[in-house]
Amino acid sequence: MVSVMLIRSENDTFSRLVVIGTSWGGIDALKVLLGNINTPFTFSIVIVIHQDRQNRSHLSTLFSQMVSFPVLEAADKQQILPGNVYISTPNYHLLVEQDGTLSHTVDRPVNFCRPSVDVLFQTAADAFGKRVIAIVLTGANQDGAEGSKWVKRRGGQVFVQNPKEAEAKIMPLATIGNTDVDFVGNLDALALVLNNLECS
Amino acid sequence: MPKYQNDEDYDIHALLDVIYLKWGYDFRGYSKASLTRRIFFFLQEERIDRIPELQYRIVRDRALFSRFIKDVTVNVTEMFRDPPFYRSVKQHIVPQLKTYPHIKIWHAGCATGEEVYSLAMLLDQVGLLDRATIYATDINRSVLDRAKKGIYSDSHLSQYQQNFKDAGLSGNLLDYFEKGYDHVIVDSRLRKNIVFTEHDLVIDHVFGEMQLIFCRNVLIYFTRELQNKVIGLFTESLDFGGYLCLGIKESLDFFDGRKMFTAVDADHRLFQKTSNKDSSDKR
Repeated sequence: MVSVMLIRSENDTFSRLVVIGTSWGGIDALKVLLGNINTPFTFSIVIVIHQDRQNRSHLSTLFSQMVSFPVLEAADKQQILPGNVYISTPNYHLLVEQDGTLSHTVDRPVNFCRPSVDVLFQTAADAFGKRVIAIVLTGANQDGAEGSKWVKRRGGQVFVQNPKEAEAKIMPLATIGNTDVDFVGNLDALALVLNNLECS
Repeated sequence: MPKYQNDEDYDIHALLDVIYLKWGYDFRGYSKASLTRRIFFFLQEERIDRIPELQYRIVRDRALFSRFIKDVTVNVTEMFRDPPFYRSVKQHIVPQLKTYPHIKIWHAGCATGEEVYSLAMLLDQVGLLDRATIYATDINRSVLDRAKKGIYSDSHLSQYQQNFKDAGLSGNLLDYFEKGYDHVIVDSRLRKNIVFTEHDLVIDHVFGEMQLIFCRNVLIYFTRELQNKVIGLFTESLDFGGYLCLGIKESLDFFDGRKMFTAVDADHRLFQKTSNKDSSDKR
C-alpha cells in the first residue's frame, strides 16, 4: 500500500469535474452518495441543490461532519481543487469558469430555480467539455434536463439516480427522457462508478 | 496551445474588443461564464444567428448597442434584499453615521433603485435622511431612468412588506408609497436627497469623499483582477472610517489593500476603512 500525500496548490487541477444537481430529497441522497466515496480522490465535485432562499446554507457544515474530505460552501472566484466538494448558496446561480474557478450571479431564475442545475451543467460543459460528469439525483422538477443534454453535446457523461430509488423521480425521469444518458443506477452504484474513476 | 476551449469564445473576445473600441464600454474584465450566457440570450432575443453578425451590426447601430447594454448587464433587485443585512447596517453602521453633520453615500450599481429606496427608508427611520445625500449610480441609463421615477409594479408588494418587517423597520412599507391602480410610487420625501447618475465602475473615476458605499451583487460579475481594481476605486472614494457594504457572495479576498479594512460584520459583508495606508507588499 502506497501512502498518498495530497499537496494542494492553486496549480493543482482536478482529473474530472463531477457536477451534481438535486432538489427534493437531495440532502438525504447526498448523504448516501458522499458517504460512499473513497478518499482520497482526484476529481472535484460541485453541487447545486435547491433550498429555501431564506435558509442560509449550512449544508457544508452538515456534510463536513460526515465525511473526511472538505465540503465547502462555494465562494466566488474560488479555485476548484481536486478532492474538494463545493455546494451552492441559496438565491445565487453557481457557474464554472474556464480558468477552473467558481462564480455566482443573481440573474433571473431558470426553471423557476436559483441556483439552477442547468446553469451549473451548461457552464461546466462549456468550460471543461469531456472532463465533465453530470449526475442528476432526486428532485421534483425538470431542472437539469437541458443542462444534461449540453454536457453530452460537449462530450461529457451523464449519470442519473435510478428513478425507482429517488425520493422524487421527476428530475431523474426528465433527464432520462431528454438525453442519451450513460448510466442509471442507485446511489451506491453511482458512488462505485465515481470510486472506479480513480483506477481508470 | 489555443487560448479558449470553444470557438464561440473567440467570437466573444472579438465582440468585446470591438464594443470597447467603438462605444467605450469595457466588458473584457467581466466573468465569462455568465456574460456568455447573457450574450446568447441577447442573440435569441434579437433573432441574430451568430456573434460575428452581432459584432458587425453593433458597430453600426447605436439602438442595438443600447439594447445590448440593457440586456447584458444584470438588473435583478428587490426591496430590502437580504433583510438581515439591513438590520446589521442599522446596528453596526448607523451609530457612527449619526456623529456626522452631513453624510455622503454612494450606491454603486443601483439598477432600478429598489435597494436605494430601501436604504432611504432605513435612514428615515433613524432620523438621518435629511442629513444624507445618496449618489445612486449605474452603467445602464434605462434602468436609472426607472429608478429615478420610483414607480414599481405592485406584484411583489407582499414579498417586499415581509422583507421590510424582517429588516427590522417599523410601521408599514406602504407609508412610503402612493398607491396607484396596479403600481406604487415612492414618496417624493424619500427621493429628494437622491442623485441618480450614470457611472461605469470599470472606466470612470473616484466619486468624492463618501462615508458609506453600497455595492451589492455587482462584483460577482467581475474577474478577480477587475474586482481588485474596482474595490481600489471604492477605497479611494471612502473617508477614513467610512464603510463598504458588499453582497453576501462578495469579499475583499482578491483586493491587494484588504488590510486597510476591518470587517465589522463578516457574515453580512460590512467593512470599515480603518487605515489609509496600503500595507500589503506589492511587487
